[in-house]
Amino acid sequence: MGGLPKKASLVRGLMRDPNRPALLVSSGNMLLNKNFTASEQTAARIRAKAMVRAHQTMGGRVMGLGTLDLSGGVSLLSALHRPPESTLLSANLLNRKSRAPLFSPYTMQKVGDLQVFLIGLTDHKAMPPDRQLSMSSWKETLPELLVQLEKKADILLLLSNYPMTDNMAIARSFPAIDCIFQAGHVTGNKAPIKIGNTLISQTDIRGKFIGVLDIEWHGHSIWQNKESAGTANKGNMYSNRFMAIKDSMRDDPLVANIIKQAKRRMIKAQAQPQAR
Amino acid sequence: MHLDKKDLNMPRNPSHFFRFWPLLVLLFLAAAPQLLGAPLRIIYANDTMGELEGCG
Repeated sequence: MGGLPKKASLVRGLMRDPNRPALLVSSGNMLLNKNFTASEQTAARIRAKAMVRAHQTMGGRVMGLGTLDLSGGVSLLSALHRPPESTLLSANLLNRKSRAPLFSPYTMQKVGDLQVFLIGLTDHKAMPPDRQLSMSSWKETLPELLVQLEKKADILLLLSNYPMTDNMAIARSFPAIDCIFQAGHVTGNKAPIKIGNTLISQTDIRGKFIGVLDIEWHGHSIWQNKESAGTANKGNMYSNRFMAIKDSMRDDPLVANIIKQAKRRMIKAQAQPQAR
Repeated sequence: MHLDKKDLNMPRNPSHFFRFWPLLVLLFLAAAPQLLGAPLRIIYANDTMGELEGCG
């Protein structure tokens, strides 16, 4: 059995800390990895559904949408978008005719005493032309959205599929955003960097690591890295670590079962055309 | 005029103050989150790309 059941056991352990309420997020490109031939579509759909179920089992309710997630088509994502249990976020993926968002532009998650607001953005420059959808840029999307959200949110997170240069520009332009978790453009773990007063971070690809950001939140104020702050205890303290998913970790039985079932369905789907 | 401790509304035994220590602890605990900040953990990942079996 592979990495996802081990990741689930690690994540569920981290989520159970009674002294630290936790939020699990995926910032994008969670579900799919490429464009598919017609014969691969069924297996990709089964795989994507299993990913969403596993994420839910770990306690996750929110996923940002990256451009790779769209390679299975809008209809697959629409079937997986079932808020509040499974919320797919993108504020700038729009219906071509109505220009209304196809998925949730944002969501609020109550975590402990905090109202955490999350916005999703998909990289409009990396999207191939599509007849069903159109996209707006972050410059068009964010100003109106942030006017609505910045006063309601205790903490405001952005799940961004844009590259680092755009995310740095977003951080400089919109100081109301407290953290940006990025997806899709850089390989390797990227520890939080502070741009203005926004932290930007990401993990390595293909589920090899998870990022854990522990925060003591005092409201919108300066970020201080706990490790380098010493005794100066001002502002919002944070510490970040990346945890590798290792073969020696135990499997989470619930997620192991989801994957077992998915594999069985994929084998069955592959066998069906040959039987005809 | 003679005033004794009773008239000054002072406890006759100073140890009476310590009767209220549980209240003091509760007050401190109520104020602690504001002093320490609200704890929050964000567990994040990206670009899993449908990988059911990958491992680090």
